[in-house]
Amino acid sequence: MEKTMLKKLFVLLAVLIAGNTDVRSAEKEVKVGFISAFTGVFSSFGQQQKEGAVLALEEANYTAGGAKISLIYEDDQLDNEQAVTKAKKLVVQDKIEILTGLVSGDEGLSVGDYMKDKNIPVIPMYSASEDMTMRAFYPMIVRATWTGAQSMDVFGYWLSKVKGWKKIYAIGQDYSYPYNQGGGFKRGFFRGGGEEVKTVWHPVGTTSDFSSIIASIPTDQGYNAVLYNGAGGDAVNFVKQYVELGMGQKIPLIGQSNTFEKPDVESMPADIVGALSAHHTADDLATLAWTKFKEAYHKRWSHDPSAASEFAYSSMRLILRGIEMQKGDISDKPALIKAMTQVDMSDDPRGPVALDPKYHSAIENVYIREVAQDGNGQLYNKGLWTVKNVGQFGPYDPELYLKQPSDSGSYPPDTRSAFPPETLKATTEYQYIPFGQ
Amino acid sequence: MDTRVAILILNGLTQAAIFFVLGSGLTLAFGLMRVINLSHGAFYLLGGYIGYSVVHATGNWPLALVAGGLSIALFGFLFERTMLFRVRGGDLPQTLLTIALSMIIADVSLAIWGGHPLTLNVPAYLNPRVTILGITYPGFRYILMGIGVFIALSLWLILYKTKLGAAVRAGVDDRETVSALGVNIDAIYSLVFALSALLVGLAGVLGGSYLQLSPGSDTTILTYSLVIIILGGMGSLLGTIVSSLILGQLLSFGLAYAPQYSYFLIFVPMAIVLAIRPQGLFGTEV
Repeated sequence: MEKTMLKKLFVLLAVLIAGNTDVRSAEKEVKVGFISAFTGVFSSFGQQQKEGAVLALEEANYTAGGAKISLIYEDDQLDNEQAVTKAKKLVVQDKIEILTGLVSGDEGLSVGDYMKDKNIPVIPMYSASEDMTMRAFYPMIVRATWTGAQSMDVFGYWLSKVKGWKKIYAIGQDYSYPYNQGGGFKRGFFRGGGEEVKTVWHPVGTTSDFSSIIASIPTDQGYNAVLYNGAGGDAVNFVKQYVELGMGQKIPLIGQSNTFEKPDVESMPADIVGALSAHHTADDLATLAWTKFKEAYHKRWSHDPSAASEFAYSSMRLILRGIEMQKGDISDKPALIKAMTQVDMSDDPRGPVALDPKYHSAIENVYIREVAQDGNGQLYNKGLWTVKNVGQFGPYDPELYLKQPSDSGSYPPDTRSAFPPETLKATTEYQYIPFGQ
Repeated sequence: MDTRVAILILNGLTQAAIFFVLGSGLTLAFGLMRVINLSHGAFYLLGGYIGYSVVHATGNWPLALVAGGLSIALFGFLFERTMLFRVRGGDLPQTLLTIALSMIIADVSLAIWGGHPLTLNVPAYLNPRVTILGITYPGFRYILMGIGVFIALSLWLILYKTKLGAAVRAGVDDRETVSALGVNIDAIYSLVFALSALLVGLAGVLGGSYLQLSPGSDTTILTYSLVIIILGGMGSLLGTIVSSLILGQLLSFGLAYAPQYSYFLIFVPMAIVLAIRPQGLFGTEV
């Protein structure tokens, strides 16, 4: 008897305390859910992403338009089912009003699909599978960062058109983002006159030893380069073993956008100096905005930023500025989305960014870079060429582009001859400007 | 022989060496104690990380190998003495306890060593480029194979040529009788568990030197370890050797000819063995 009384008392107390906190937090609060892979093979990207977002939040003192911004972080361990479970938890239990984070391509697609009818803005930071802002787009998505194909089309075109390369041997991680990067690369490479991109896929994060794949690369069939279309822990392994097996002297290694990203590149051997890649950032950007960001980031986290941290910083600023424009009241979600698409991002650290009003995707600079070594022996990505104002459809006609199937393990084809010629027709031409001009 | 095939075989052997060191520890502990240590992968990660810190601080790789192995051995010993022995004989409590430990280790490691993939730097003198019969292959991988063989021989000597080994083998067959004969079975349990931890700690340093360590590799490694001992037959040293060799070659050739399916491939022999010989290739019926 006494026990039940005590229980009742506790419940009463709990209700009182809960009620009390509700009364106290009368000031406006915006809950933002942040799902990323803080563990697993892409943990470095997840970590960098969080650091970039936190920097933007701290600069704004965790407030925007008079509202307090609170973040709820969830680790999905790079597992799509986990990601959806975490999204469900954030929506149902935590009642978030904005969802952000998302580091890998698959993560973005599955969470995006779950969020479709939730009337909650989804702001993917690093997840780059193009379909999120193309074939699977819905208006609550704003991706102010990139798609996989965006930088790779520029890169592939440059390699074939300017360097005159004809044949590439590509080894990639088997999931949506590398498909999209490989797809962009092939379109650009074939459009510039390339003939073949032989493609091999391997499972993500489980293949610890790449030396058998590397030993299978034919060295006598005239391949101009080996493209490693993978990132994270796999890339560190692959590059190390590529060098150890003495392949570096036989066929040069090039990378997709993330292969040589910081901090992973810092664990790679110095033999890869000169390895080419393309991305929307370069470590030696000398613009005022980048320098300011780099210094602030270094001061806060005592290491250099990467593209993942910049994209997160810039996306978080977009969220904050959008809330600001709504004066902290974001109950009208379509109005918030509209405000976000109108946010001025011309002061972005990586270069000016504009948003495509139809698909809410970024139009921005692409930098072609090479791995270089600084005075302290540390490796970084040095800018070589800049192409301005590249959108997610690259130089192609959007309508024609969308008629193609989504990039996958088997599309686009490996040779130019198997490509329908009309899909390689460009409506604009890239201007390759020397980096820093 | 084709250079490519030769390299594939060598890769398979390197992989087999790591697999063996991984699997032998787990199978040893299982054979005697009937404990499936689900924190085996986490032990691997921790041993590798400790080795990394030692290499980072001193640049001395052999020291890192010793430090990684011994620290995990000590850790395993303490874990067995203070916690694991309390749940002896209970399958479910053992499973839960070792899973819990693996999660704690994984999270603490994440806090200490961060999420970035780390690799132990192997000094150049341990990794010369060796050319045998026109085939160039990293010297460190030959060292890995050598260490694998050395550990296999030592284990065989301990198990079959020492009194301790005799007690362990007797314990595998009939625990009650062994303790009735006056052997301190508790002490043997702790010793075997420490030995199992020593092996996986060494595997962490070896694996971390030619691959990389990052959060999440603990579960991958645990999966591999389980596949190895299930295929070989739980508790059998010879079985572990054979299954490591099979899986190493399978993984190596799988990666070369069907990389997309390489991960799936390693489960195939396990599935076949489970279907027709559930106790594993060299296992005795439980």
